[in-house]
Amino acid sequence: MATTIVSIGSNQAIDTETPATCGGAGPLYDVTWVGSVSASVYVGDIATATHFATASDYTYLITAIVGSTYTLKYITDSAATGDLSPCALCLDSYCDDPPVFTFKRAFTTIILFEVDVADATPLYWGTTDDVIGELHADSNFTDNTVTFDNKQSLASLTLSVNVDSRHDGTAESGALWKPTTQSGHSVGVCRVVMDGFTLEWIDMSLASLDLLNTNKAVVTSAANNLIIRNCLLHDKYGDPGGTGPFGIHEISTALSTDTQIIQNNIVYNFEETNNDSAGGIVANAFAGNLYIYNNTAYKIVGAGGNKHGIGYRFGNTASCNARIKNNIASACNGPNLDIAFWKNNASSTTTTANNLSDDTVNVLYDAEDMGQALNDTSAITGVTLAEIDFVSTTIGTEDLHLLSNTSVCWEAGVDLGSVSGVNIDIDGIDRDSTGAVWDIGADQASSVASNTNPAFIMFMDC
Amino acid sequence: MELVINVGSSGEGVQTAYQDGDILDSFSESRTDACHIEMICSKLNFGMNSSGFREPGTLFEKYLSKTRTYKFIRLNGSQVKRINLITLEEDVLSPTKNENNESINPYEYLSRRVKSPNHEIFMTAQGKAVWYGRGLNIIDNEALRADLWNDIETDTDKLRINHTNWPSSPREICRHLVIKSIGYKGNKFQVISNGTVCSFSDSEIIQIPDPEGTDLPIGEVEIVAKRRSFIPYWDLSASLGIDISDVRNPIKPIDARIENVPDRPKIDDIRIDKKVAGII
Repeated sequence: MATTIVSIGSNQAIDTETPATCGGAGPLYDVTWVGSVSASVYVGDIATATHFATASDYTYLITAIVGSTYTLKYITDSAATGDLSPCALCLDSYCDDPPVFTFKRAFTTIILFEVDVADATPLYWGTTDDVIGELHADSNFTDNTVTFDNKQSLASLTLSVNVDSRHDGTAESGALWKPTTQSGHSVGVCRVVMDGFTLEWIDMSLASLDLLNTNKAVVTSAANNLIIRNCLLHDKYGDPGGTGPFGIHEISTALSTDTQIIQNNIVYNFEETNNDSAGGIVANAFAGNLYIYNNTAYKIVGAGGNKHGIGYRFGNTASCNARIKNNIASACNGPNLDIAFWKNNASSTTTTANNLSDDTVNVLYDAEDMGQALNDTSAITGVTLAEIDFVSTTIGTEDLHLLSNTSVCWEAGVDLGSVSGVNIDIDGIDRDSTGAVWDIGADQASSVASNTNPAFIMFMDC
Repeated sequence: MELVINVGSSGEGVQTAYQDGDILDSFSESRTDACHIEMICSKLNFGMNSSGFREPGTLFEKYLSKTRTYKFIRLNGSQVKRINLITLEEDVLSPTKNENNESINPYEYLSRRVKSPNHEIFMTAQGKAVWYGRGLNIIDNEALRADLWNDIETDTDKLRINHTNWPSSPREICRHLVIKSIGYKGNKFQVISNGTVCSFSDSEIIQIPDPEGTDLPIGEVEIVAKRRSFIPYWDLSASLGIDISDVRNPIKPIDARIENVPDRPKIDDIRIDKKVAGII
């Protein structure tokens, strides 16, 4: 099965270059350029040029970059002239030189990417491909809601972020999805109603929506083979309506044979202000195989007399088999119950290990008992925020990485292998490569060892 | 405003799929404006100084100082001053938690940030690290965007008047129909707010009541129509100066955006609300 990467971003003039040499045979051409191509051009971008002979606008997809050689795949041309090598296009009537190519992103918004995913006649990928849409930090993404509910015959779909546009584990440090208009209450900013979907490396802020009805960052509904990983979901404050704020909310039962994986995410600052509970990662309805691994939930706050703040909730259906391991729940508070972890139904199956809850939660719903007296002796409970020791809980510059060596989470987790990339922490560090015992939470703190760039060295003496 | 209109249907008459004429995406003037500002002022367009920090006083720092809620200044090994750039309130944070449970370890925080080749840490002449946090919504702030363009036009050769179109991709120009529209009220052309423009590409949803006895609201919704609004573009060939057969050719680029405002179709004349029309 082929994997096709396409770029999503607003830059339609990344660079312009003229082909120098072209190798290969259609539709794939290995192209070198007269000048140096900008480092902001990536696999998944497109290259366009006009062929003078037929006045046709040609589009090629960049499928590989090796050194100075760019592999371009012919996609289409506006006059239906047909597949030609980039070097065979003509700048003018003399046809001595190829035209100047412009490098662009394939799509400008997440919505328009989704439209093509739902299209039965896709342009950039094969009908049974694994497709990866990569966001680029050209400008903020303000899509108020995107519903992924039809991928036609694609094998899988991933919404990701280009490696050079990824967050560094803190908000607004890379490509940013930050709507400014409402999604509709409980619709979700990102709504997933399909199987085979991965959401990764997304930094989504709801901070511009305090007065609007958007209340959920990610909503999933009966999605099998779902993976949500390495995301930052944060900053919903206010009274959005009848339901409170949620970071991730699976709202449907799905099948007992379905699988969902939620790992290495940081979900924080979801705060209701008027008579609703708030939830960090809530998969309560899900009836299948659920893996909630190495997440950090912080400051999930409900309001109203009988309302709760809930870090993690799961396992309402007897057939649900939930594995809950290496997660942090801190400052999950509500006027009624301060809930770190809540296994909803005693009949569901749960395997827990090495979770942590702080000293603010109701002991019945801490990392040890999770509302069902599980008595997990591997849990760490009753610790203070100072003992968890995040780098910064300062509003406006939050950094929920762990302070090395001093955090109780440090090397207190359990090795969970590498399936679905569970070993890759919020910064992209391979936990296994550190040689250290796994930490609890989304950050593997022992990765912060050394650096030799000049700016880093300047801090060494302070 | 710009509207991206679907050409063709993903399932004839099946409203849960995209239909011919559906407004797929919609861009207000303010959203387009903000997009260009962000692209021009992107940190990727600005380098680091020889010490590996962002250079103060650049367009990039001007941009951050006007589009962020907070400015942080490291005072010493353990203290950081936070300035609220809106209210001008100041406080000092440290590794010791304050009454709001806020704390920061400046050394660890900054050490991590500068590991990134695209970090946003500035260093003042006095050797103080400075950074900014929590972006503001510039889309809904025309005065701020005008101020930012003033900085851009002062520091670069870019002009606001040359950045009024959404940067549509070739696929979007070919596969869909991109047009400009305008509001019209009281015998005057009107720019429509970002919130209203965005609503033109909304789905039609209905809320499904939670089952009896649900202690934590589920808030399930049903999407009745992938798009609530559509534009019968096939009736606009004369006003837009387009050949509909060309529009329906998915490889032919048709950019139907009219620059002269009075010549643009009025949104109330062309947009059809499916619910009002009884289609859904």
